[in-house]
Amino acid sequence: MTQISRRELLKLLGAASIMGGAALRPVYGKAAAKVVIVGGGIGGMITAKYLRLINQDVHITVIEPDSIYTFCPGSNDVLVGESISDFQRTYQHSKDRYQLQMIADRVKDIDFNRKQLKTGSGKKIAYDYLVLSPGPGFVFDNIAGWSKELADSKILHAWKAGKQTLMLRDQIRAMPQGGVMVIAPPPMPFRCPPAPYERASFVAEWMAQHNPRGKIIILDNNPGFVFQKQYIKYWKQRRAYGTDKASIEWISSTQGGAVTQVDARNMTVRIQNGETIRADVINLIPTNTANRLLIRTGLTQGKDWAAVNHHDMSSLVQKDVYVIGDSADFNIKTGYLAADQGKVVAQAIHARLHNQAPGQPLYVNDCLAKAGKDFGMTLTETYREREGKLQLAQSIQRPLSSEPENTFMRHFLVAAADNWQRSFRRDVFD
Amino acid sequence: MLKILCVLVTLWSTYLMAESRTGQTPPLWTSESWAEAIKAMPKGDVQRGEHLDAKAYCATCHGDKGVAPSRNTPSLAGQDPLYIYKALMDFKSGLWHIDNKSLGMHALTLPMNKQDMADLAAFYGVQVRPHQTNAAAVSAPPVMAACTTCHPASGDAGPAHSGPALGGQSVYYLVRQLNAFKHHRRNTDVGGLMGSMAQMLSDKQQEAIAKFYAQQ
Amino acid sequence: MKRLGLYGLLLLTSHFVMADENSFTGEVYVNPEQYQGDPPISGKMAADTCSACHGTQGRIFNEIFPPLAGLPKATFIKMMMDFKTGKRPSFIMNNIARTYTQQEIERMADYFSRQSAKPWFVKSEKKA
Repeated sequence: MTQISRRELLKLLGAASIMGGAALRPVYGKAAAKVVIVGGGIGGMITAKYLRLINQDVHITVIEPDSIYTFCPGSNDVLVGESISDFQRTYQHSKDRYQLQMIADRVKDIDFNRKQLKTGSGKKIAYDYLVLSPGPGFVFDNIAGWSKELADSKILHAWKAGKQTLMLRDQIRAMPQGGVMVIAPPPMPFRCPPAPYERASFVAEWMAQHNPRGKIIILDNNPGFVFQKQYIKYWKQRRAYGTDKASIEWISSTQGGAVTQVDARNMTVRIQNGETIRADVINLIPTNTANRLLIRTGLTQGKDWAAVNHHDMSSLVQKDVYVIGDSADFNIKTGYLAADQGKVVAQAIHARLHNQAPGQPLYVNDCLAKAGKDFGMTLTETYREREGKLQLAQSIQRPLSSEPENTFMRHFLVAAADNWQRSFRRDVFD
Repeated sequence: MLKILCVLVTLWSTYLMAESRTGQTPPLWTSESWAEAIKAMPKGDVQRGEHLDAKAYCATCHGDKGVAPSRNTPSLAGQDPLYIYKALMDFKSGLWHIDNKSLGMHALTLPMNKQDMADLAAFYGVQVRPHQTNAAAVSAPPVMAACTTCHPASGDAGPAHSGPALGGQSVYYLVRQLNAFKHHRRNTDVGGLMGSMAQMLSDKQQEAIAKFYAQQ
Repeated sequence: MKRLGLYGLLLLTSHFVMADENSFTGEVYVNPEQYQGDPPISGKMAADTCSACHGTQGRIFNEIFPPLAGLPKATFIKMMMDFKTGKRPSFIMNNIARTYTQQEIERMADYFSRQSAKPWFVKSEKKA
């Protein structure tokens, strides 16, 4: 079969199957490239799906140790009673529909010269193009008394949705009446900037019903946060914020709020201004960095994040390697952006396979967040790229502080936020 | 082709239902409870309604002065105010829950009281109902005789508030609602009348009826 | 104008770049027409930024976010331009539409008009 007729056949097959909703049946040529994706989260699965939608002549392998993926967007709702299964997916469907090879394993090492991965079980996997989307790395040892073991058992982070989300939910439920919960956001940038404040806001809303004398203290590594004006306004209206009856208190880094030490036995934290705070639930969110795999393999060059060319998210350190999501050097880290990056990489790899230069990218972060069941917010954020570097072209939040209070907007944006999560889960996994 | 689409839409809505979270289902309407509700309906104020229409950004989906810009959303202009009032109440109570679009309306009606609903209803009631001018003429299918008592062939609202105006709505929207009634996903009808009527309609008949009303 | 209120005013002053005392809550807006000289962003690339809400290829149906697939080009352009100029007020879409140049909107319109208007297929598995 000649190259042209085969491609035409593929096109026909591909078009027919997309229309019919059946699995995409790749017809691999002898020279079909091998694309290996590390990480079956938002970035990894979007890359796999969007690449398959435009290219049926490429082998796509996804390496992911877990058999169930739990979406982080929406997982704060689980802390206050939503069912976690709403936010979970298996890989079977994507595997069948997009003809992916799923490997349940962990990547141990990468040989960039041989273009080969080594997995935990000793398997060797060759790649032509490598996409790394393994999520963030967590740092525990910058808070004295904390460790990975404690983070898995008692002083939880719940910053990767799943088991810990349920454990933290149970801790919140078990709090005594009038108990205190500490939530400690790490320094920016970290995965999903509004999420610690959303978490505080949800738990406060839950407490108003179930633990009316309970209190949340946010001990912050940052001087401010996204949607700050909206959250503070809402907390003033609903949580007596700023008074001695407040159910939410926020101590910023400028007030010395950063946690320096935790005592898991006595359940206390010490913060930068010298204060010691006792709490019933201590939720420390670890400092985020690139995933340890990227640090180990030199892709971060001793820095916190993997340097990339923002034109196509390719590594500036190794050839034919793309880094997306939490590990990449990108101003803001969100699921929406990880998906955008995956789509950019899918198109870039497709272009390269056809000896074309990758097209001009566009990164949009249309975030919808909630403060409670009656208050939603939206952020429209756009990054354009020039000469491999990002330019922030837009960042506008609503409701704007300058616009009059609109109860309809507040309510509608809650429904829109829930709706976004549903659509987004389908964009990634269906 | 359209049949496949309908099946898909149906399956799809079933799936959305499964993922929805409205909690408890409110009681269905009986003619008695509906008569009580009509009695309790406040007098609507058109000007307040116009103000609310702007404040709730209804125009984003339902268009300027209630004339819908897309096939997904119904036009509200010239509709029977009582129907609008009831629809808003049903969205708020969660009785009208077909798919996630209902969740948007549910969210928007949460802050509304009965006066707000009556005002909005009054505002839309005085607008000019849209007419599809460019649609090819379709004659009324025989099966429609059963519909016209409450939904006159003129496309206007039925006598004595017996049914909402259907003229000028999109075929897509009308078929979607008929399907929702047929499969008991929309249970907002008083005494379950629409549900039992829609039961008797084939997909082809639904389509023909929708096409006829759309062009009125 | 009166109907749009304060927010409309803000939309009309389309060239502003505002600094804020707090970088987390500050507003940034660079008129996208300033990027007109850059290499063009393809219709698909721009349209793919919509799919997180409007579904893959714009093919999610019956949600708060309406489907975009199969929309006639002119319809899409008119809706987006009305959102962009503020003529059609929306809680979400005004700011989003303002992020794209008119040419990008036209290319997106072209892309969406060529997508199948059928809903993205119905999910065959229900979660884990």
